[in-house]
Amino acid sequence: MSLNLWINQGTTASTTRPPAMSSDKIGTPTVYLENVKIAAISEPRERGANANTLRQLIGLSGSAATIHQTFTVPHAHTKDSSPVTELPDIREGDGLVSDSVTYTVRRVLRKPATTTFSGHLEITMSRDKRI
Amino acid sequence: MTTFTNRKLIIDELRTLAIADGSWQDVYDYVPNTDDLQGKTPVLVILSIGTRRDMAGLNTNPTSHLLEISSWVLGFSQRTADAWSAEDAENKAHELEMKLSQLIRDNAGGGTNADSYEFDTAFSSIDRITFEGVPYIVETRRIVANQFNGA
Repeated sequence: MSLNLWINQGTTASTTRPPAMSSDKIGTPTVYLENVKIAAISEPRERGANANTLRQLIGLSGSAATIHQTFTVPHAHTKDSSPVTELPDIREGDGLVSDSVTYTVRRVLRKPATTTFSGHLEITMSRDKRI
Repeated sequence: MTTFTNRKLIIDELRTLAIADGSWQDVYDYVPNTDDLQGKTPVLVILSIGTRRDMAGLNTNPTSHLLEISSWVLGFSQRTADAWSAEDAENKAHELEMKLSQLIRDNAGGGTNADSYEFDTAFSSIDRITFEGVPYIVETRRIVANQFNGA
């Protein structure tokens, strides 16, 4: 299955971003992107020692938070309430909301286009552990 | 039946004072997690770390609640929009230590539930931590909330 088809069959998400600092304060995040198409959220590919390395890389070594992964490609969506068609502007520290669940974006890798895949984002996220 | 005061009321009282002061973006009465913080700074955390109840007669139970109050300041930000350096963070931590001390001193006479607030005699403690990948300066000061007759 092509990456584009995989993502089109995935789900829709929105993102939140903390406002810029004002008077030495950063407030509650606000909605930044809407109608972002993402691949179905899954566990990261890394296993065993590689999974531990991934946890260290994103600052979650020893944390009980769960780690998740998704992908997205350039497409039409809404950015700051304006329609755009581009690779979604998703960064570390953003919140990603899908199916009423909020994930914290921990790492965003911008992958260049290859003969097989279009340029895309590989997004690694965490969610606080819930029992 | 004896009527002791739930210390939560005292924590709520301090939380209300800190919110009204406006120096912190948010004030928690529990340890916040990543979902709570969401990049917010600075925040204040008010926790109980123990209560002493004395028996000073048939009807008097002088009570002291030891509270741990922590200011969390974002250690630095890599976002261009913030221009928040490690030096800014240290300076903010200094300022908030003073603000918190003033808040307690200004309310030393207590409120609806506590009869007095006082500083614990120990130094405040400062930790420079990385909380789930995010750097924070956390300064913790202990406060004693007294109830003269325990009720």
